[in-house]
Amino acid sequence: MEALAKLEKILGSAKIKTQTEELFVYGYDATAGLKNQMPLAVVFPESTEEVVEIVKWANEYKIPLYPRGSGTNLSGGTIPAAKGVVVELNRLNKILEIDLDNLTATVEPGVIINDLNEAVKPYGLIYPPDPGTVTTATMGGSVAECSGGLRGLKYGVTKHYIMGIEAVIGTGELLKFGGKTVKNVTGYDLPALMVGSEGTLGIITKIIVKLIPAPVAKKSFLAVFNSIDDAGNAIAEIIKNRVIPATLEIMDQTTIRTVEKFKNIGLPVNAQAILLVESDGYPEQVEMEAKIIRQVLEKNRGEVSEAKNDEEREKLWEARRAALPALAQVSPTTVLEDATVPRSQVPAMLKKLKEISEKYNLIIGTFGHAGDGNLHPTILTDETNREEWQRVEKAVEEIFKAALELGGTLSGEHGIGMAKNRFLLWEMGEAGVNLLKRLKLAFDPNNILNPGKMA
Amino acid sequence: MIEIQQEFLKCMRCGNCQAVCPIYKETKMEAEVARGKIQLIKGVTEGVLKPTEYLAEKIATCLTCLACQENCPSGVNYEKILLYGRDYLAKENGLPPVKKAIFKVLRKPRLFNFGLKMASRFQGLAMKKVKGRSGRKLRFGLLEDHENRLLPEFSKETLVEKARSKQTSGKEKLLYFPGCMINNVYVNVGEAVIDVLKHNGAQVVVPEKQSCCGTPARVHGDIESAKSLGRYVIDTYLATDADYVITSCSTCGVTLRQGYVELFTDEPEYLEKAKKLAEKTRDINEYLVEKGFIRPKKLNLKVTYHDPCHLNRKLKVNKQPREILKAVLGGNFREMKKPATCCGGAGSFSLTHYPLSKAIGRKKALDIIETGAEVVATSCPGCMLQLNDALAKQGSNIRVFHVAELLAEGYKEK
Ligand SMILES: Cc1cc2nc3c(=O)[nH]c(=O)nc-3n(C[C@H](O)[C@H](O)[C@H](O)COP(=O)(O)OP(=O)(O)OC[C@H]3O[C@@H](n4cnc5c(N)ncnc54)[C@H](O)[C@@H]3O)c2cc1C
Ligand code: SF4
Ligand code: SF4
Repeated sequence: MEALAKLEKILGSAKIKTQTEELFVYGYDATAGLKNQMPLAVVFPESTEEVVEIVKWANEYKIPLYPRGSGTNLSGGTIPAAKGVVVELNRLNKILEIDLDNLTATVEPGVIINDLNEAVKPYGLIYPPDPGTVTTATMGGSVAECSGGLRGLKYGVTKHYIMGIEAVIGTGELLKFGGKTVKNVTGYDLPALMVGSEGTLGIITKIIVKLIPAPVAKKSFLAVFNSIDDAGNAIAEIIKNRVIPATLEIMDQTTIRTVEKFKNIGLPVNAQAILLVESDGYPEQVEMEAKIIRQVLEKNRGEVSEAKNDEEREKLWEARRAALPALAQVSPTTVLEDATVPRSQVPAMLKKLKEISEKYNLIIGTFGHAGDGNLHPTILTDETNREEWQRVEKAVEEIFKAALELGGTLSGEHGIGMAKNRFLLWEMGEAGVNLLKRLKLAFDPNNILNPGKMA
Repeated sequence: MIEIQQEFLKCMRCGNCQAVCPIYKETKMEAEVARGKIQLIKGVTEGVLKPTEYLAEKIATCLTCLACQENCPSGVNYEKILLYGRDYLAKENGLPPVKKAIFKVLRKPRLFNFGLKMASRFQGLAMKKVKGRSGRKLRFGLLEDHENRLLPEFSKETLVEKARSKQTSGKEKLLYFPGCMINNVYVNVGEAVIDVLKHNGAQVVVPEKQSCCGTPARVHGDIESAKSLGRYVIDTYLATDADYVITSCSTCGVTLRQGYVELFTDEPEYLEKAKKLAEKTRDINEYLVEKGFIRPKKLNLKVTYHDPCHLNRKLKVNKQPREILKAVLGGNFREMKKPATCCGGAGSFSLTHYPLSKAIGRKKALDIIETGAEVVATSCPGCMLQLNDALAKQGSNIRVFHVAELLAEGYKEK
């Protein structure tokens, strides 16, 4: 193909792969149940200039581009929907600057989130967004998905830490949005628009993030509940008492039993729910918060245990960390959703999920970030079982309907991609979806970047 | 087939394996991390992909260090998939000619030992001695980029030959399985193992009939060669009524303890024998700690420990060598940053993929150097070879020893 020959000339043969075997492994991401779709080629740019060249090339030949970090997204975000070229950004992986005066870091998109945290640790700083995939996901991918994680309740999500972005938009123009200033109201909030844009508006080539001081003290609790309502009330009451824990996680009975089966860590298999609560900050503040947290948990009939040292904290966290792995071992296919509701509606959503699981006769284990209303109902199934898979699809639809009815959203942190395209109208309405499309055209008039995703 | 399909399905493509795969860290290529290789093997067995040489090469690009498997949230048995894939491709494609020739020699224990013996006589022609280091460099590149590779010397006398004069009586009867590397190259490791066991009151015998354990053939998909070697080893080692069979090589140990049982699932007679052998087999570290070894005198040396992948991940032997080292060194033992990451040696991987192996070894060497240790101990001759080369490349004079060698030193100390 002439176009590919030209691309090879631009990049040099070491940065482009066209062998079937290489293409095959860029046809999927971490999303369950989507078909493998091979690209025409995969390219591995090593500089911003090369990214510009690639986008210009794509415009010339009208060939779609699919930006990709580590391919760990859960929405089909990197699957090459139409024949095009995957732009793999993991070789652009330098930490360009750690600015201790302004508390910022400037990184290339291929830097792994955890590597940034390791790099700033010696200075007593952290970059808080921590999706379950911190050790593998890239900064670019997490900005494009606006990833959340366990610390979202107190520290917010990726969008709260992005100060500036450099990106090549769909026309091939290199633009800088925002910068190092804490305040910036020049024009529209374009960095914000790039966050969560799922690779449809531009290819991010540089990111300036905010760093914050690492908390010096921590206290962690595990509370066991015999009723979902009690657990739900405890969540609401902690926050009503003006305490924002760093983490407030929930695990339902299905999850508890599954974790216990695989890990034998002594979890109460008859409990209806477990809450894991961690407060962090300065010692005095943590002391005070811990007192209130314990009171609220106990008042709501929670059986509370507190970690006395790091080792015991590790033990408490082991249960939460084992949630997804354990669920994943039960069945061949794990459909991980992220329906999100206002946190006051968590008990209602949990009830709804129970109904849906019974109605469609499916095992659904639910765990997640209860404190911020972001639940991860996880359906355990086998995608090769056609009949069951149809039930799964129906259940997924109902889960999203329920979330929207409760004033929630289709996605708290995993994005829309290909997986939830068909539900977008439900939440945004026709005018909303049309506006998305017009915005997209302003950045990418030839519809080169990640077509077929989000709208 | 159904079993392997279930295994494929277990992989939820989360990408977690990327975080720990030494190869992915170097190349950042999806086809070279477990997730990618699993999908490729699935693809070829389902007929979606063709069994090309290119595909075989991708599947070959793996250290089988099993870090991915240890880190996999879904509990995917990656090793099973990989071996299945290599076996499948070997049947479809045949083995590459060079490997075929090598395994043919391997299959005949006597020819193999003769070959290694000859190598010890003629190594001087191709290799020159390196001053100050135990080892030789290739004089001219036999393979691409191998010019400056530091290789160990073949011993003039094999361990079997040396061991003849060392046999004594003792309370427990132990048969020692040195494996090719120790029998022919790191003979001093074998001698140290015998000394240490004797010091602890055991009778040690090294059977005259030695051979390769068969793992190199097996991991490259040559199951027939692996089986033929396996039968030979099993028959030799079950022929006497020893209390234990002792190994001091990570790979051999895993093979005797687990590998043969997996290999002979379809041969009931040998499966039974393999199980018997497995029960009797102990890694030297394991045996010593299990029996309670005699405390040595302390050595004044700063030492760190490198975990051989298979010994650590498959046999879960990682506390025992540290217990022994602490007994020999006291407070002078110090951990490196990530003692369990693969050194990049991985048997013949370092021959077929030297540049990649070298890059991985470099990271290991830097971690070792950072500890300020004078010696790095390990429990596998394959790792010793790689670590020696990697450290030499960094211009370091840190020495590499087997745990048994240090313990033997501790017993000699007055
Ligand atoms: C087991 C598991 C647990 C997870 N836990 C969480 C969690 O707790 N919270 C959470 O929020 N997410 C979670 N995720 C989802 C996923 O890990 C995150 O969305 C992650 O940030 C994606 O990063 P990535 O580098 O893999 O991006 P990819 O998957 O490669 O890409 C994601 C999207 O970003 C685009 N993109 C990638 N790089 C660029 C770039 N440089 N410029 C423009 N667009 C780009 C892609 O086109 C795609 O649309 C989880 C996923 C798994 C498998
Ligand atoms: S960690 Fe396991 S489940 Fe995840 S991609 Fe790798 S092999 Fe598959
Ligand atoms: S066995 Fe080691 S080298 Fe091979 S894929 Fe797994 S982690 Fe990577």
